[in-house]
Amino acid sequence: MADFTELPIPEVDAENLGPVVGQRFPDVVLPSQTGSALDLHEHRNGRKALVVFHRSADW
Amino acid sequence: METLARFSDRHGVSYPLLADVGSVVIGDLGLLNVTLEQERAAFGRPIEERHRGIPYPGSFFLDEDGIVVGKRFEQSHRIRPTGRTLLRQLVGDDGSGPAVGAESASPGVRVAAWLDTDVIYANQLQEVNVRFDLDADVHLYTNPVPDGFRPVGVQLRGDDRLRADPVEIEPGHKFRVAGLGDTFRVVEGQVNVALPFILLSNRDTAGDRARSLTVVVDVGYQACTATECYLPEQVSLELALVEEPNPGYETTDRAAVVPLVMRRLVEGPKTGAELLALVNAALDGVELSSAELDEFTEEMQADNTIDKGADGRWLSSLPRAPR
Repeated sequence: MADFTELPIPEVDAENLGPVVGQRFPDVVLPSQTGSALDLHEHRNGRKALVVFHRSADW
Repeated sequence: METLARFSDRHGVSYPLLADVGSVVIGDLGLLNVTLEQERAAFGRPIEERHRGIPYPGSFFLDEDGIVVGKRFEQSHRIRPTGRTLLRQLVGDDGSGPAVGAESASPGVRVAAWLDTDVIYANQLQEVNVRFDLDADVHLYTNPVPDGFRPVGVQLRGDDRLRADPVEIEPGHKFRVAGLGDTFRVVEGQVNVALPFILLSNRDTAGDRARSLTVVVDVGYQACTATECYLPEQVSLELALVEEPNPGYETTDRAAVVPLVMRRLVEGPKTGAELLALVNAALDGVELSSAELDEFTEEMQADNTIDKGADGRWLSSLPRAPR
């Protein structure tokens, strides 16, 4: 019978990362590709939104 | 902002892209990726300065009032769900399910392969998804394997024009087999593999009418428990698709196609001139300039998909798909 020793890679507690379900997504104002600042909730203007976090548009 | 504008123009993005310079919002929201160094190490790669400050990859779905009604995070940036997959998961099942899928099972293991669409076009970047569901006490070996064992491997075939990226199976956990005195890697639980592919076509091969096309997903693996191993398995899952004529094939999205082609071409070391000639031959009529090639190679080097060796020749840095 083989004897295994485990060396795990990092686990991420994805469910508890950032704002939780049921919470209002915080106000975010950041510059966009047009060069001017964009207010997430103002831009939504009462519409639903999908907010995606990605590492970079460069690599 | 210039980076975003360039990306946005290149890919025809019509939604806002936001730049979080200094990762201020990422930090405030608690999304800063603090385990990247370990993740990179698991892939045998060092962390670089530009990696610092990136978020964990994930998405939030907000309702009309800005309330978070759904969220999804990936363990790694290597897992990139399609827009449709995200919407289906976050907004809910639209009843369509995977457009086309196939399954198989062996002791302790169930394998499913599917596509989000059953209609594809020449030179369109598509993705086959493969999922392994393993019983609680079962693991599969990834490369390298002990002598005589079969590693997890997934390959696509079914059309001469089909070009697929080398498969990246998640590295899994390290296991040391005491009897063999060496360390191997295994995966457990649920394993998801995404296989990007294109039907690399030119005017002659793109076709001018709809035709049926079967993409075959060849899956190999060997399941073991702590006490025994099952026989190696090799199954072929067939996905029946329709290829519609692509009137825009000659305006191929180079940003999608060129890197796929290049990754295949640099399986052996190539000089820049050799690579340029091969890319242009492979793309048959898409004349890539030397400057454009430089731009692609820079991006791919930054993304760690190709490397420049000490002799100045290009070489793929992706792990090879198990043969």
